Amino acid sequence: MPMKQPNAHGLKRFAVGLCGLAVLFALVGGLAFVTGKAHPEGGAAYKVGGGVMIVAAIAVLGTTVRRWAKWFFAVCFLMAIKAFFALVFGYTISQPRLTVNRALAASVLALLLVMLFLSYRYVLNPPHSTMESVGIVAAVVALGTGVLTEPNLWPLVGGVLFLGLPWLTKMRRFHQE
Amino acid sequence: MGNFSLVGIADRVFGTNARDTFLGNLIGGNDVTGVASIFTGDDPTGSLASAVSVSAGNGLKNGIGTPLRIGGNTAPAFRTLFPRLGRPAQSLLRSKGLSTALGTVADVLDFKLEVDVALTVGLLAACR
Repeated sequence: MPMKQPNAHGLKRFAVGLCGLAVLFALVGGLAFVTGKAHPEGGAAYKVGGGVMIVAAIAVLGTTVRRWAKWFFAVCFLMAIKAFFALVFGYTISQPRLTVNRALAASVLALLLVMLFLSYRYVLNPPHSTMESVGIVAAVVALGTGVLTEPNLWPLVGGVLFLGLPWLTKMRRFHQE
Repeated sequence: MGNFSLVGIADRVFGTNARDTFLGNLIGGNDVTGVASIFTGDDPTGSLASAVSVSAGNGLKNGIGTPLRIGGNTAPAFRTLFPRLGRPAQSLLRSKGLSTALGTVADVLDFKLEVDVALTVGLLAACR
């Protein structure tokens, strides 16, 4: 019986995904330390450590932005689907199961749909300008901050603005020409 | 059970409370244990939500360029009966942008499922 060859694409995707998760964990952990959501009694040492984690994560995200920009669209897409069904059924789809505040779910869904619309172009073409790169990195930081500051949605609104800024600039240039 | 998800791990490592937030659940909740509740039936409303959501996700992925089918031989019969109309409509149009976008979504979805399956195996091991 012939041996089944390992799926090289699948292995590579899994390895890259794990690296991405490590960077996101560093980002969220750093944000939690700096905002005092984790170990508030820890003092300055935790805040400095958190700051270093955030800077390191943003540096990695910034230098590799052309590789992962299209994944941001995919993550927003999956989140939007889950938010939609959570809004319809009143429960979250994933475990741990949460009863959903429908007003919050509707707001999150609306913001995710705007993010989805604004990040669709990165699926076909990775970000070219510095402004586009900063916008998409800022949107990732905004999602991480949004998790820690819920029900406050200002980080998500900020993320949408950062994502939309390069698009608005491009549209303005297009209309001027 | 909440510890066996990406957001649960983040909570354990950093001492945060992200698994109780809606956004945290959307990003890092465990979809596999959510679907398992269909069979265990611990929460009928949640089980229904999980079933519909997973079906919708996979249906989108498989629907690109696929002709709409009602019976097994609908496409050839349709072509024979209505030659002027030609091929039946596609459930999702075959376009480069949409295919690339949903291909990327499928990659991320597969990775997330692999991680969630691993965490669910961890949950089973912990329950023994």
